[in-house]
Amino acid sequence: MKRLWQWISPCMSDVMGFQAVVANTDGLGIVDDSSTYKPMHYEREKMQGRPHERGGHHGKGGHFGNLRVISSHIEETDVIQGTADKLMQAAANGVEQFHPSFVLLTSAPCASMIGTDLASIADEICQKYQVPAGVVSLDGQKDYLYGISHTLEAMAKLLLAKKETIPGTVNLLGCHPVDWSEEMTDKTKHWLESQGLQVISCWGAKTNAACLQEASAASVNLVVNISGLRVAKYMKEQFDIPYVVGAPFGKAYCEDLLAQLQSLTSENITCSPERIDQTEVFVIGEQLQANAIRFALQKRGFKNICVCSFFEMDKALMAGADKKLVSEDEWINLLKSSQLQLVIGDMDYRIGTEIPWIALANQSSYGPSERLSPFSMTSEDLDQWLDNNLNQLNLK
Amino acid sequence: MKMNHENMETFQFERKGKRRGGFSIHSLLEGKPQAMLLFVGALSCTRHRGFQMGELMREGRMAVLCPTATDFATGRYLYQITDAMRELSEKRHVNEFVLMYGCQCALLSTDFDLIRQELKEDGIQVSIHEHCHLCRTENDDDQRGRGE
Repeated sequence: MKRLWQWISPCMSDVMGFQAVVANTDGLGIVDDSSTYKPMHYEREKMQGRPHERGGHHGKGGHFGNLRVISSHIEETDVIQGTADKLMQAAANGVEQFHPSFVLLTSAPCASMIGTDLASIADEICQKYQVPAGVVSLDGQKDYLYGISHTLEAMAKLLLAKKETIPGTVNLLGCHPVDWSEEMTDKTKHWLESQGLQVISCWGAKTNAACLQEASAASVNLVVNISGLRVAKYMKEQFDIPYVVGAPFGKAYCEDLLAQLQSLTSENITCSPERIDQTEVFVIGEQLQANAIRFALQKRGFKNICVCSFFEMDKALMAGADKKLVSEDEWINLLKSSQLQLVIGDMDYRIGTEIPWIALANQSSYGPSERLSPFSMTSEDLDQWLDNNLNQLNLK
Repeated sequence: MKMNHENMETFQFERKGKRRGGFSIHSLLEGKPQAMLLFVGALSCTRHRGFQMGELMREGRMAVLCPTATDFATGRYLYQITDAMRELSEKRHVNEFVLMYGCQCALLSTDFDLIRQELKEDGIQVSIHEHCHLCRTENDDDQRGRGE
């Protein structure tokens, strides 16, 4: 049955994607929600003490340590009376505590059903506190990549203005903390710098508004995660900054990406089967990472490789039988294919099959693969990881 | 192709830390060894004890139903709840469920008694666990999960 999940544990929602991005900046995120927001897993170790000791739902304003995403704490009565007052109160507390460079508002499921006019509240915050404020239209029902992509676009709309282009500069778009570690971002920056390209901003990574505001001077954008594509399109439209799409994973793929960055051309991926029942290898996960893995597999002689995802996918970046999955049943049927030789993906997606499987880190999951930290696949790291795993499975 | 969830055990997995005091989703199934937990709500709601949910799902004792905003607005979610329990009952041979819901169901004043009666006619027993942040019936803010 569609929308019923029996085997695959839920992934992070769009609102958590919003939280992941905003908490990594010097901005402030306010979620129109009834419950509190606490630090996410990548910050968990930094948090000490219980909520009442940190101020929070039981204290003033609902703030937790240095977490920059707070809740409006709406209750049943606010469904009738509206949530505007609670949002303004949360903004007052948040601005006083964090002195944010910008404020973004979004709504959780219950608030999105009420239909609070967040745009007018953002205008009020902007006028009252002289801080740029905007809205990210989310409802808590979509996946984290959807939330991140809309949050990055909202940040660009708030912070960017036209600047003179600096030749040889690049922005990294989509290196957010759910799919990317800081190490991965640093390695990618070093790799680009070693190729004569200067990285001037990283969208999704730990950063601040001042750094992000430099982005409109870049000569090209590199979209490293599907969540960065929306903001890339926005920058193309507003500032005419061209973009290249691809996760810099694997030596051969990186060389291709570099050529694309220099020539500003894009390549189509054509190694997917025509029909999904011809698939021999499934790579399931974030689309750009999966595309890079497919490229590396193809270089090793694998054929009929299909990329699937339960998350956001861009049609232009899909090839052949690539598929955006909408239900667990659909995936279970695909796993029954007799042609299938290998799957690379989250262990939770295995659902008891005995098909050779290579586990892929998935920090957005509430399953075993969440425990696999994202690791660098930059340059030769992907090749090494893939060769080790293929050797273990005697598939090389 | 063999499809059984026990094979998941081949992947080494430790429980996500110790369960702290206070409310635990596992406690809803205590004393009900044959029962299954069904959570109905938005994806966003699973940030509350998502890892506990994941554990129970791998144990085959929980399922999650995520209706869309349209499903809620049109009332289709009511049919989805009963259909989900009928499907789980048929596939898993479970006749006892604990139903847990998110704030959307509370906001719409969902008549869970009606759902319970309807399923009772099919031999499915349902108990409702009221645990809603919007209605302040949760008392669990001292718990730590992902995001909350």
